[in-house]
Amino acid sequence: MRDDDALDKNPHISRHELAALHEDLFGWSLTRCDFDRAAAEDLMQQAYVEVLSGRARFDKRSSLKTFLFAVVQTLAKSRYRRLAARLKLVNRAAAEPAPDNPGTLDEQRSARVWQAVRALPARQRDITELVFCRELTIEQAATVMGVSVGTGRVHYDRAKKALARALEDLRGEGQ
Amino acid sequence: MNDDWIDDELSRSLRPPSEKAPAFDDTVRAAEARLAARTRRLRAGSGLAAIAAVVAVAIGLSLRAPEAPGVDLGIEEALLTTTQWTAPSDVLLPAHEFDIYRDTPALPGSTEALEGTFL
Repeated sequence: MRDDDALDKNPHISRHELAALHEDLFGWSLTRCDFDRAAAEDLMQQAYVEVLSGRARFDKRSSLKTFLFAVVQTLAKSRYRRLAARLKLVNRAAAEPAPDNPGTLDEQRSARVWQAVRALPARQRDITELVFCRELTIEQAATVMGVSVGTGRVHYDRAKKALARALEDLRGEGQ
Repeated sequence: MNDDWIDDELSRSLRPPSEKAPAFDDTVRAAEARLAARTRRLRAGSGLAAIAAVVAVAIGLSLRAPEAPGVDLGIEEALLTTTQWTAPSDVLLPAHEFDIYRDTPALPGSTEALEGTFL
């Protein structure tokens, strides 16, 4: 059955479903663009162009969230790969000064964990973010990343081991 | 090694960035504008391609070399009726009991030598 506000070229997606995932999708786009807001907005618009035009077609073979995340991931990997690499270089060159107000302890801790995650190899970083921050299962995360579930599990285990080593000093603190 | 603590730590600390997303309606409107622009560009491109194809075909037809004139059937008919052809005869064949290869003429031998070679 077709929703009233279903997209013309993508009848299994309705506008209100898309709107409900908008915030989450922007967060995912943001990390794809190394936290560059303008690039992330551009990436989001491009993803919506693909969805509105029906070039990226949702056939209910996965959840809508998995599908949309995969669209953003695919676009980011192709069109924005060079841009993201450039942004990363620029961001590294302009070393960010320590903020005057470092935030609450929780915020500092979160920043520290993000820093460790960002230092991981790309696939380990992606699966960690998808599972722990975006609340996808390993299977869904593997679909988004375009790898098999087995490969996804390998990256997930390696990421957790690497993070356990990098964040060892946080163990037992603030629990 | 028990890794449960890292699961807890990541679940607790790896929160989505606090960056606020642009308004959904604005993003969709921008995407629709991009899509419309892309459709216009594609239409303009395909229109130009069609015009270029028509021009190319027209130029190709106008530059084609004129065909060589065909054989005039009147002349061909006249030639066929005024000439005749007969199959080759067998007058030179061995049936006439003369075979130029049958008798090999005797060639005179040379016995005189010059500088060690027979003449």
